[in-house]
Amino acid sequence: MISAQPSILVADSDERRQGALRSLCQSKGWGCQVVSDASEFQQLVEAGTFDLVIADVEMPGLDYKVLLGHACRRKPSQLLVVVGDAKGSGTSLRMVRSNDTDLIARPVDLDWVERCMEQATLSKRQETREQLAYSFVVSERTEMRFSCKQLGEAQAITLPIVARLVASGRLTENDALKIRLAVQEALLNAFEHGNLELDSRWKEERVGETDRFSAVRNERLADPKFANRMVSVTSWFDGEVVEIVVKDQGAGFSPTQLRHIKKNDLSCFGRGLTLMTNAVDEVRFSSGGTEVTLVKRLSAIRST
Amino acid sequence: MAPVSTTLLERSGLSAVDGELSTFTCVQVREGGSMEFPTEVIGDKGYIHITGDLDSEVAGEALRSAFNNVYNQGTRTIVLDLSGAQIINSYGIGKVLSCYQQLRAQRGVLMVKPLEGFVKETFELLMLDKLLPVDK
Repeated sequence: MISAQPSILVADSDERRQGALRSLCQSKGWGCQVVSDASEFQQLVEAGTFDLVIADVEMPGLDYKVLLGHACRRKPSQLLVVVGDAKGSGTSLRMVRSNDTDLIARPVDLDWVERCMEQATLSKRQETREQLAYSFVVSERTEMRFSCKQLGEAQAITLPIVARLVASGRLTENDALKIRLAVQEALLNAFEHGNLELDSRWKEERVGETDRFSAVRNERLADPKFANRMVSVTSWFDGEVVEIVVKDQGAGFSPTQLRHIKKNDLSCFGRGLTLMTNAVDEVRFSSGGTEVTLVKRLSAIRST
Repeated sequence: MAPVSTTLLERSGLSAVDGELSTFTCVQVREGGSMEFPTEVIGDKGYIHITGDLDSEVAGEALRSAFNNVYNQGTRTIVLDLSGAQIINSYGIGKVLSCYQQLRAQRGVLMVKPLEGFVKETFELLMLDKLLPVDK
């Protein structure tokens, strides 16, 4: 059940827009907090209790960095709308380019605000239902498969099972970050070193404007022989352990080839396995190095 | 570099605030897309504000672009503000060290603002906290 009334945070120093948005909220029965001070905005927005945040990018003192920081950290169900120039130039366009942020041009369209609020309320309701349902799940197994071409085009990948464990309160944000990091490193290894057969040392060899690693990477991503190779990610949760298996179709490797990081090591490569092994409780290599299993124990998750 | 998959959905219509009517445009970006990290030069220091996670090729390119922007203004003391990042992976660290090397070759220095959270843990694990001085 969604108990709290929908709420909106407005950061705007324009009194006409403040008044219009206050009236809208009052007529709809929404909670509404209006600020015209950037530091107050930052404090309130970090509390994260609003369903919809509307911020005028030209409010005095409202730093682009503050807005971007909030956009990166907010809950998925919270909507952020920036009010900007009619053509979306300057800061406002940089915001929408950088993040999942909506832009509305002045003067603010109240119908659009209403639709944004409906969307935010629906997202919140769905999120709450999913959290409740997932709290009863005692085991889950999912498998994802990616071609090298898809991985080459993807941004960071978050496993749905990890997101659900966090949302249902069974995994801390910090440990979710650790799992995410370990999975990213395993995926990078599987994709670049396994399937594309790239050598990390090439990162320090210049080829024109770029390095040899990037140049060969691009060549191989355009070659179906490499680009069509697959990476599979199998995630398994049994109530006590999260286990993630990342498997590639490359030639494999021997764990004895791992580098050890030393103080003042300036190499641009070779840290992935250190990060991976530190982030989870156990890392196992198998199938000749084409398969890595990451294990995070739920008891450890709860205690850390 | 990964292709930019920014989706811009534009629509036009009428809007009204206090009886005022005008045309408006709405722009949404949903998935992927390019990243841009804000920079500024204050005195003899350049600042790069990392406002997202440094864990993808897109983010790495954004760091490189921001670095070049400050570096090409002649600044040789550059400070990374990583307070907007929750995570940095080996790819991001490689990019940071590439910037470090470029500055060092010009007798410059790469610094960091005080680190926090998991990014701080990662720097300490890899002993990068010994390498990059803190700008307090």
